[in-house]
Amino acid sequence: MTHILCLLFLVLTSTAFAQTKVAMVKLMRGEVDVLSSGKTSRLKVDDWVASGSVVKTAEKSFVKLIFIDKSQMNIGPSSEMKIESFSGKDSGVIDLVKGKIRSQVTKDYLQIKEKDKSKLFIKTQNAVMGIRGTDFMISTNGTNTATVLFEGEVVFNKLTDRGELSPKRLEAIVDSGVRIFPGEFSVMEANKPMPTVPSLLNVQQREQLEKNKDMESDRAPSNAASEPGKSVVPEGLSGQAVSNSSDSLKSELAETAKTAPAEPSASGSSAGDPEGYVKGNLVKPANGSFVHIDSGVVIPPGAGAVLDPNTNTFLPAPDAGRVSADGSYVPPKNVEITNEGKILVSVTDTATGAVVVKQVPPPPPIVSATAVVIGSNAGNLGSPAAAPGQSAAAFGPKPLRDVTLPGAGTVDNRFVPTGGILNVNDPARASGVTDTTIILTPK
Amino acid sequence: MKTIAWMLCLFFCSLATAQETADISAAQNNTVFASAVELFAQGKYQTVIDELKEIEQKFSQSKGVSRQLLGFVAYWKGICYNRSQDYPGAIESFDRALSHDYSPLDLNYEYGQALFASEKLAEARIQFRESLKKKFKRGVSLYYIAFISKELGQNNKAFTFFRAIEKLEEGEAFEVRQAAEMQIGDIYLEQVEKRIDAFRTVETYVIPQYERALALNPDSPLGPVIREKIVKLQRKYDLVLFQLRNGRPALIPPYFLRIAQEFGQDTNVTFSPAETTISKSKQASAYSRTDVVGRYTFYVDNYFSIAPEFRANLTHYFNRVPEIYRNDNYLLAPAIRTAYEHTFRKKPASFLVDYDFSEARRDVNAREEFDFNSRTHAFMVGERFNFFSSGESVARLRYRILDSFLSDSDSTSTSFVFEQVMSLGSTTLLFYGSYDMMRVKNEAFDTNALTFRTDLILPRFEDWFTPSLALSLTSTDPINNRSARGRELLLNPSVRLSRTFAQRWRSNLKYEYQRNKSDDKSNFDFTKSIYAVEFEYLF
Repeated sequence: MTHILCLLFLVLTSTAFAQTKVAMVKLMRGEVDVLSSGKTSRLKVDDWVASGSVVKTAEKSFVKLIFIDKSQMNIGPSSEMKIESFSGKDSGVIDLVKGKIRSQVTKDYLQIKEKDKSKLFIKTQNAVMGIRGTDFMISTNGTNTATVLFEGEVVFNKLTDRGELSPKRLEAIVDSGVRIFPGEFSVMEANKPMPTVPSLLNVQQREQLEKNKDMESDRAPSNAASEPGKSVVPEGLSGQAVSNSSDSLKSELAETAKTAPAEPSASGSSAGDPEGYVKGNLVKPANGSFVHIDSGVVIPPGAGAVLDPNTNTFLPAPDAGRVSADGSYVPPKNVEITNEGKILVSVTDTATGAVVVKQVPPPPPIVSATAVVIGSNAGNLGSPAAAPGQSAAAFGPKPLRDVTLPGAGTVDNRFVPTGGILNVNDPARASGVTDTTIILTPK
Repeated sequence: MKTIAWMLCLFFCSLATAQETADISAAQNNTVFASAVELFAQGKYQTVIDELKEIEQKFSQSKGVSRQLLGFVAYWKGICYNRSQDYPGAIESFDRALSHDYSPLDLNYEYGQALFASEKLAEARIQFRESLKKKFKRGVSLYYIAFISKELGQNNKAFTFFRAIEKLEEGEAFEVRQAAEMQIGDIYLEQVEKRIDAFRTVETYVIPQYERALALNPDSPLGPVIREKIVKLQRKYDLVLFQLRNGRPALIPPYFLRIAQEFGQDTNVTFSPAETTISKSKQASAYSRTDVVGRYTFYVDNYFSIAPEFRANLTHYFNRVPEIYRNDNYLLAPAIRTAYEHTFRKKPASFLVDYDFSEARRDVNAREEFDFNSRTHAFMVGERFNFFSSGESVARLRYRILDSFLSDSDSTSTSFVFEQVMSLGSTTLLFYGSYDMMRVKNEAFDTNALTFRTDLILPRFEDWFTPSLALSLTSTDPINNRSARGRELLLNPSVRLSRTFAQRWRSNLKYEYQRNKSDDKSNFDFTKSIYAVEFEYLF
């Protein structure tokens, strides 16, 4: 009887809100606008958002929406999201134009259809994700899409058709994609035929991202590894060779604390090859890689990474970067990653003292004895390195985003202080600037 | 009274123990650690640390929590700090665990790693020694000890520990053996690069050591690293261009040019080459000799090489009496050397075919002018092969035609030659043996001669010079003139001290003694010494 009443309530509620109100603003920061029926308005707490609306967040802004099924969707700063459809009956479709979403889909919602079907689809410019369970993050810069799963299960695939697709068609697309388990991530790069094989995310990044449900922005280093030190791996050995299993700890747990050690989760994970691999179009990043969430760039743990058998992930080399309190990836000091996915490395010319900011290709996403750490592939000063399969000329003289300069100096006879921001789109100095090198002459 | 006091003491002690047991029991309750255990399994180390801190806090408020339990919590926290790469936190935690006399099997290893990452190398080494004593990850612990010793500049210690890895059982050493061999190569390189003749010792010691490391597992992830080290050295020191099809390295650069200038004192100037008689002067003279040798090796499809060679030298005596200056001479000697690379017993071998031409001009008439002295054509076929493990062997058959300014001295000679290289660690031995049958137009001068020569090249002495010693014995049988000359014996010991300046300059101090015993005292019996200093430049 209770079930019938609930179902009746759900049907009535969903009918009442069909084409109209599907989500309520529960929490927000900064400026959030909604575009509905051709009209833009500023959102505030307790406002309703209708199906077909576009929600836009400004820089440093955030909004938490509670959907009619009690699912939560947190929309991060500088994001744009369209609710294509959302009802209690069929799978909802969300279009994330740019930015990021952290979502916790309720189990009620998940139970309304068969277990192996997606209950919600989130589309981006180049990917689609089918949600079958519950806590995940998805981010896109408009060209690349990255997704991280904290709990449950999602399926993820490339999307080539940008039109409004039926849930049935979307289901068919995600079914042939990759299945992501908790703690794993996958990235769909614009120029790749398929997403990366799911790999385990760096444990610290996962932990910090999972904690940061409200998408707080805190670029301060997390408690752990605030200062990068030396690698635990002595030259010559692999991260596997020096790694220590937790067997001793487990036996101490059993003996001293009389506690049975926990077994790994049976829900499935990419426990496979932790070092990662590249086999034709199949790219599996190393377990323990970082993800630059805003751009989808994958940063491998580096050659000095140690395998943690407890989680089957590599603990990163000290020069591979670290994680901030909000779960963002923080690259080494001489490296900057733009939201467009460009990796800029500052290299000092020992002869002249000039600092050259170079764009380099991302390092191969695997761990090996010869693996390179991000930024270490800047090489000698000279022609910029091109990404595999991409000629240096392919970078083209496109405008570059602002660059934080590593030292004081002059650029085109203009003084720039240490840490100063160089606005390369400034027309006053746009001539002669390419997106690959900027020469900073020290003062 | 005493008994009562003891009983009281016993009673209070037992009470305390009971309290402790109760607390431990509480701690042993799964609920105390359950959450931390689950979080640890998920790799949420930062949260586990927070949990353990709370547990520590609770324990500190309880009475009589055992040191073992406190030690365990500190140890676990240390492990989590290590996994979070927060090494100062790990160090503090492991230190606390040890202060509670709690030291499970892997504590010292984990502690050592935290100290190593914090660059507290000497302390880290102590912990890895403890780990080694506990036989925990022996191979890796030993490697850490050796590596830290190397980092601390204690190369001798490092070498000893790296070598000790070789003695471990395969199961303990397989992860580190190749890296240890590579590190030994690095130690060699560090020592060798300080030396003036680094280019030579790199080839003799360092590269073979890296090759030994590589041979352990060429397909390992470390393989490309070791290969790169070898190639870098080969490029830096111009050692190898590429490998021929049988694995023999080709020369890089493919050319060889040596210019040498020698100044010496000859106690009894003689000129024997290309003559059937020895023109001993019984006079001493200082002399100068300039020698140039050049060769360029062309490789065809990495199995065949052809190398044109040219040699020229000029000898001038400073004692200007006719008996002496009639020995002033110069020699021009082009040659073509070819090698066909193949394998013998699955090892590199070369089939050699050479042609040598030489023309010597000498002041034969003592007019202070160079006249024709002799001309030779020599043909040689031979085989260079690896039969003995100690080094390469070369067998040659040579036929030479000599046209002399004295028509009676025109001759042909056939020789069998065998050479063997023996590498004895840092010492090299060269053996040379030949049997020459010379047939002269004037048959009275026909000879059969047997020569043995040994060269001993010793290791560099005190970073100052490289000594080499040689002894040659030649027994000559004047087959048609035994009655006058008897069986002759030439004893020829020599010593040379070489010192390299910069990479390409070398100087040699040489001393040579010759004693030829013959029944023909007036023409063939003689003694002489040569003292010389030579400067060489290798391009």
